[in-house]
Amino acid sequence: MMASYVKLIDDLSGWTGKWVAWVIIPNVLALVYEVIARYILNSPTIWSYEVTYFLYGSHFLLGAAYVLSVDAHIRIDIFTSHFSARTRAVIDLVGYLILFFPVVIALVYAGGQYVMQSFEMGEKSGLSPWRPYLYPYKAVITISFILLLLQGIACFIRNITLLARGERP
Amino acid sequence: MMENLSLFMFPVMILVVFAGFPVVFSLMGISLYFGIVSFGPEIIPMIIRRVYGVADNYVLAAVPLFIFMGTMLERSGIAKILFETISMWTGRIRNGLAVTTILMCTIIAACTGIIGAAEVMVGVMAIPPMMKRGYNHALIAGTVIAGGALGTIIPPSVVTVVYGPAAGISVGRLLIATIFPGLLLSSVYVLYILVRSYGQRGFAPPISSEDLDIPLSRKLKATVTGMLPSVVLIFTVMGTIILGFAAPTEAAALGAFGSVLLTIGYGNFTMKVLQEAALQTLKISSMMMMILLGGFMFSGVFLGLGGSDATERMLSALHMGPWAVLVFFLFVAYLAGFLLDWASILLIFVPIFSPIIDKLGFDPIWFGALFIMMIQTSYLTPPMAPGIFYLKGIAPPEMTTKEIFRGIVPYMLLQLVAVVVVALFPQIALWLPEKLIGWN
Repeated sequence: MMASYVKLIDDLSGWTGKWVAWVIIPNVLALVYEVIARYILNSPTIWSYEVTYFLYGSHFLLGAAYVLSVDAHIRIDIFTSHFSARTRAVIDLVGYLILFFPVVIALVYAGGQYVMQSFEMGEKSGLSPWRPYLYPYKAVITISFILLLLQGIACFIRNITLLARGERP
Repeated sequence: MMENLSLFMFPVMILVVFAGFPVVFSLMGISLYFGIVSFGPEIIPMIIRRVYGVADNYVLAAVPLFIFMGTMLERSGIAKILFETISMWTGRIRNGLAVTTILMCTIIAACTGIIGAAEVMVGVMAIPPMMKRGYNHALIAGTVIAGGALGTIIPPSVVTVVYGPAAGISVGRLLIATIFPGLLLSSVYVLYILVRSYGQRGFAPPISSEDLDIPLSRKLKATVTGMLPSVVLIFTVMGTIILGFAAPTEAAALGAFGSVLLTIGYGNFTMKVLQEAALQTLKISSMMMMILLGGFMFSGVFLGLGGSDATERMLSALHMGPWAVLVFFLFVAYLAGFLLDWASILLIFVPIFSPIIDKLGFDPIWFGALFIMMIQTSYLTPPMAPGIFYLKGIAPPEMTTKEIFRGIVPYMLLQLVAVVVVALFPQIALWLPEKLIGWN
């Protein structure tokens, strides 16, 4: 059952990564359109500023779980790369327990509260005349950390299985 | 008491990071614990607000766009055409292909914002012919790695884009300020290669006759058509920033768009290419931006604990004058470069150093240029040297690790020389932005 959870979450992260990767395209197009609108059509958009950081933030935050699933977050492993796979698994387990879970759970929890607050207040961005509602973006940020948490649990289980069976599931 | 606690954050961070757990989560976790001890549960809303602060930063949105531009250019086929064009002119020179390598890396660095893009693109092109002509292996390795590292300082550069918000200075201004320091570095490299070719036994010989036969008119025509796309791309990005036509974020998008058009123009565009470039972009940008989040949390807690005052008191207790502090900061960045990647160095140290540098009366833009030049060495200093990892991926098996290490040394020294030159002559960095934008 644990193995099927790991597989499910790996698939979920891989799938999100594949789709979120495309967000870079509208990001480019929206900005190119803004420059054209400003200089050639003489009518700058009111949404370019907000849309740009909405897309950019969603892109890298939603991608974080995918990056974790392929183990591509930078590690300084010059000392530990000589250790056995078991030792490294133990280090990772401790790292997840002491560092990863507390901080990611805190981010999910506090982020969730901010989303509710933002929704109830009808909070709008004050950074441009467009003034879009902010709760959808804050929700995306929290969803990113939920996905990251799920992937973290999957990696944690994978390390336990490695220790228990001496192999990867 | 709290201030002294802040100074403990560094040894703890070093211990945890070297245990090999991902840097991002190490930085975030340490920030959480130090934050809870000092501020109580209030720290939790504080750290999510740090996330919002990064996530709604319009300037930082340039980072993934520059990365996409780089991953697209890697697949565009531009490297091949640049190589053919430039080596047509450098063929007669001793060590000519090494000169070609540096020139190509300079041009590609001026087209893209990411470090290392040039190394693989140029290395794949230039290493085989250099091996065939019997170039010194150490020279090949050092040149390709040092050339790849040029992307750190030569604008546009994601390092500069990240440095701006971390130090609270204008990214556009800093991008312009790094133009001459970047060109200085690549000129110093070219000069070194040429000078060395006369002192060295078994220098690389010039190409004999085949390319001398090309008539000048044909050479010129091929040069114009070969160089034109790069010139247009460089103008699209840096030109629009210099003229104040577009914000750096917009310029990055224009460049990314241009790199897609170029790939289509060279007939190398397919949906699969686009998908690969997009996925690689996500991987690099998410990895980099998450480190940024961790770094901002870390420095936020450090500064919140009064770490800036503690650092200052420590420095004044050591009786360090302003210049000694400046040298010390750069030296810390240099040492950190042996073990850490540029993003971690920048995001951990810059928010802490820059208020002190301001207080000492140094120009923050100039210090930015020096700092970026300094962390460029992190790309080539082992054991954590991305430049060496990339090279090993493309180098022929005859090239040994010892040769690679030996090849890096002269370039490391040359980088230090260039840093000293810019430190002694601040106008190299400051003249152009003053000329173009006016005083700060």
